[in-house]
Amino acid sequence: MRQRILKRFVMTIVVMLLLPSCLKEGDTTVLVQDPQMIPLITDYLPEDLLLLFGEENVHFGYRPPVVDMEFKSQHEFVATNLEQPYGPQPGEHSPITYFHKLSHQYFQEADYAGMTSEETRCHLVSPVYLMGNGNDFTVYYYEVLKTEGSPEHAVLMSGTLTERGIKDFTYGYKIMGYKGTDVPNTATPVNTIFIFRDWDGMAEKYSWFDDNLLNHQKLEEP
Amino acid sequence: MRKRLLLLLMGLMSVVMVQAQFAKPLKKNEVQDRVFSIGVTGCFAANDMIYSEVKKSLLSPMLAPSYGLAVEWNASSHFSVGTDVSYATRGGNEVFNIECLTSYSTSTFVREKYHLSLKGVEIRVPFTFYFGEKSRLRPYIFVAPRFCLWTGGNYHWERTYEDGSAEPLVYEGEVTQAMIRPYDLSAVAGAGLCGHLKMRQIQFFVKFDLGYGHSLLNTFSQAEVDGDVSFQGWGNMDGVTIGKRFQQNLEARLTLLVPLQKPAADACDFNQKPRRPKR
Repeated sequence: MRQRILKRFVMTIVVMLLLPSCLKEGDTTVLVQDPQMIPLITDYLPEDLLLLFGEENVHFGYRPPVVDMEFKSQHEFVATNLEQPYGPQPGEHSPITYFHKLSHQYFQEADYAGMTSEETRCHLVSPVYLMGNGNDFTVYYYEVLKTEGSPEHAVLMSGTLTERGIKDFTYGYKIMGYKGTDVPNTATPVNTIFIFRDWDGMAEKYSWFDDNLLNHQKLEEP
Repeated sequence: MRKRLLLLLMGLMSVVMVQAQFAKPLKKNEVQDRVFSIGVTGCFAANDMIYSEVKKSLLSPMLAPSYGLAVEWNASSHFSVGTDVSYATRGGNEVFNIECLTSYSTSTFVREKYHLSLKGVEIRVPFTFYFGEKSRLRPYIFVAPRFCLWTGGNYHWERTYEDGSAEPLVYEGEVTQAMIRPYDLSAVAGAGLCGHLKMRQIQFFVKFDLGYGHSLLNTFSQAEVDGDVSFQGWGNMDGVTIGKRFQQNLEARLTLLVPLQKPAADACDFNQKPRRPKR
């Protein structure tokens, strides 16, 4: 009797394993994952940077798009808090090309790698924070550059993800201070803010990143 | 670590069972030690989904019952193996609140709720070790592999804004193959108490135990893993499945078993007085 029961049990398990799924077919699903509790941008970045950047250029929301893209931007000055006429004039084009790479790590976090055409090495910031909704997103973070004086920047960028790149790309930063001891006299003063946007409105998708360009050292947040 | 321990215990129990299968045939007067019982079982479980890569902000388990038939064979006065076949409801609830800025000076709380209810046939094979010999209530521990085959279910997902700035968004419907692996294999372990009751000539065992179950397989469907799905209710995170999703549950189970043979006096008996040694 014992053996018969065991045999039936084993047979039942085998048959059930071989059964096709009893669930209905379908191709939609609901993936539920908690978003992280990232710092609110208004608590995180300096107020004067946010104000100069403009609320209309910031995309709010907690479901940003997946931004995995390398792109470059050529900047036109939009605003600065530097006293005129020493600072660049609004509408003036920057001679510097910026290269960016965003690697989405999580729902509201990404890794950022960036460099300018004046630099030979790129720097990596991890994590940077994302917010947004639909294809609109905003990225914000702090970084310490490896350029002269090691300036620390509070950075904010925003735009709309498209097939060709980032539309309406806007970029701004504030110099929070200098971490290095060799700050040149000609260095831009602390608390200076620059706001740019891409001069043709589109920061083009562009393949530039190479592991050899990395400093191989993650920069710490302040 | 927890899974390894469970597997180790299950392995040990399997060895004991195999050993019991090859044991010497029983003599007539030894049958009482080896009791075959049949009965009903039901449990009430707090079910939850956990993610390998996500720290959940709110614990909101889904409470659901399951019920079915059970058989148990006592291989000796300490060991038994059984089988439960139940109609079970599993799944989970996910809830989170997040403060979301709507401008520099205003924010709202967004609440997302997801309820997944899976229904199916569940087979459990508990290997049980009973402590003690002549106590009124015998404590026991068990480990069990558990196989579930999902036959249906439903889901409900909604997003609401505290300030009412946007209309609530709701998706709901039947569970499909795209949402869950169609079967699950779990390991369950727990402890309980067994009482041997006698009403007139009918004897039965009442077992109550608490167990913890954890799926051993990723419950994401193959389509979800492959990104071969059209998502709903998930904004623009198309094609992103991060890590693995497992099911866990804490269950309280009550089982009523009627022995088909007369059990030994010391099997789980508190009606019998202890035997006096023969002079």
